[in-house]
Amino acid sequence: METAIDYLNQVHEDLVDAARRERADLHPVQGRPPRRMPAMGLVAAVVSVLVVAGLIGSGIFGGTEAERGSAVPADGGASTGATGATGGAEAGADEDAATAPAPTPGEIADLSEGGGREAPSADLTRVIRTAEISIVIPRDTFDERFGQAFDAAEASGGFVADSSYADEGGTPRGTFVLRVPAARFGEVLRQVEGLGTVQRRQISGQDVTEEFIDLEARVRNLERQEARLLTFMDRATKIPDLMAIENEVARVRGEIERLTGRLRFLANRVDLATIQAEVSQKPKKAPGGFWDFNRTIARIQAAFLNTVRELLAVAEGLVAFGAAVLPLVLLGALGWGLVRRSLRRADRAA
Amino acid sequence: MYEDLDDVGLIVRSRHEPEVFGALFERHAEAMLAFFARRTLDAESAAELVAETFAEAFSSRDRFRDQGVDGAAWLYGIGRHLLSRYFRSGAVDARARGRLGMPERNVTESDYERIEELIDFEGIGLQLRGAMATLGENERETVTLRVIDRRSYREIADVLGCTEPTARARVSRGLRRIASRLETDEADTPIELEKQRWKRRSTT
Repeated sequence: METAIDYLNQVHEDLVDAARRERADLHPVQGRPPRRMPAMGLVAAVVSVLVVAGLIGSGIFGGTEAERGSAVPADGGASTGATGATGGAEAGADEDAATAPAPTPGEIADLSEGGGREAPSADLTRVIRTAEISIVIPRDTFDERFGQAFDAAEASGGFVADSSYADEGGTPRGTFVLRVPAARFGEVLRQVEGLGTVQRRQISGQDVTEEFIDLEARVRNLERQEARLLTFMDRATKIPDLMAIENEVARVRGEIERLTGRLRFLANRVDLATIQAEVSQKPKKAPGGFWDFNRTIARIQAAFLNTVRELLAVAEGLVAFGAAVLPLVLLGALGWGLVRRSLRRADRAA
Repeated sequence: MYEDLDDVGLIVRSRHEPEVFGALFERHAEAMLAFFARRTLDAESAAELVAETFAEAFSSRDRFRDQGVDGAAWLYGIGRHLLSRYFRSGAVDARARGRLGMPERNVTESDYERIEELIDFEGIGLQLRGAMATLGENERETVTLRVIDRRSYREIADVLGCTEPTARARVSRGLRRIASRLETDEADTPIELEKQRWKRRSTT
């Protein structure tokens, strides 16, 4: 629409988006089941995404999305919170996510026009998945188990993002961070957990579908604005106008870069799930036997040192008390001396 | 697009073709922004009111009855209702936008300037002067610098030795106070007339 006010352009865009969502409900895509059946919706969505991927000839979203779609139920109870958004149509914000999976024919046409960059708008729900676990492994198996974890990550098409190992006072500890394709997340997680005994496990899924849609809409708006500014620039005849427009173009371009950067970051987080693990070793067994000589020595030593410490503390207290009282004693002595002198004088006078 | 359709036509058609509602927005959004800006004297609230009005109108377009009433009057009726709620609560509703899954947008720096231009402070100068007298000294000074001297917020911040956001907040607070006074002075706004006409038509 023709206005210089960005806000109105954005709202216009939002309103048309809302209208498109409603139209998707009014005229469902052929064969699309009602929204109450998320599992079938998901299958339809995966098929649609594949169609879109085929149309735009982009290999980025094709394979991984299909795998991710089929892997969702396989991850078991732990991740139901994360993938629940597909079934959570009751929340207003989730309606985006619920209607997003099945693009209308119009949207597909838009996509083929817009090229690969626009593809995410027809994507499935986007969830960033993270697992944090603590595992305890048998003694002296650090190298072996770390190696197994890294192999699992690489075999899945992921990589080791970070790893560290420290041996402090005979209790070695290590951490590693694996980034694995979202579709293989559950599988790799199970492999890592198989390395030892799991002490703590936290799996979280952050749904960024809404942010995605929002960012894409904003980028579209800004690009439109940029195009408009460039036509203004062609028409500008005065230097100050030209400079003002140029500044504005620079600002808009900067904003586009910032938003697309964020989009890329999110896409990376979504495509590659994160597994963070803390690894420790089984603690040494306490020495057995009916008498622990070392412990007795330690106790004697501790008892002796304790008494010495207490005595020193008392002595310190006495010295401090003396120092506190000293000025009073001196003052008292002075006063007493004066009184005695005056008494003696009075005696002599008498 | 849809030049051949009048507002009523657009609303009716948008029932089956939701995207058509976008054309209604294109036609009226800027005028409505000016309408709200002159009444709220606050760029941000005015912009949000426009968004909320259209969201609300979009949600309830099925309830619109074609009784020979101007489509714009219907829109402004909704806007007017939201405006009075805004004056009571001091905040713009976001319910309709929330229902439609429309995100809340921010008013950018350059938008601020452009929307304030729509207010046409000179046009309502007389009323403003009376209302200005009711402000505290700090607010009056800030509002004067902004509205009468047309200084930028940066300059105002320099002059008064405060930060830019503070200056903006003071102007916004002061203008809101003035606006609520103007609102009570103002009975025969175009929209009131529009509403009266609407009532007359619907009763006949």
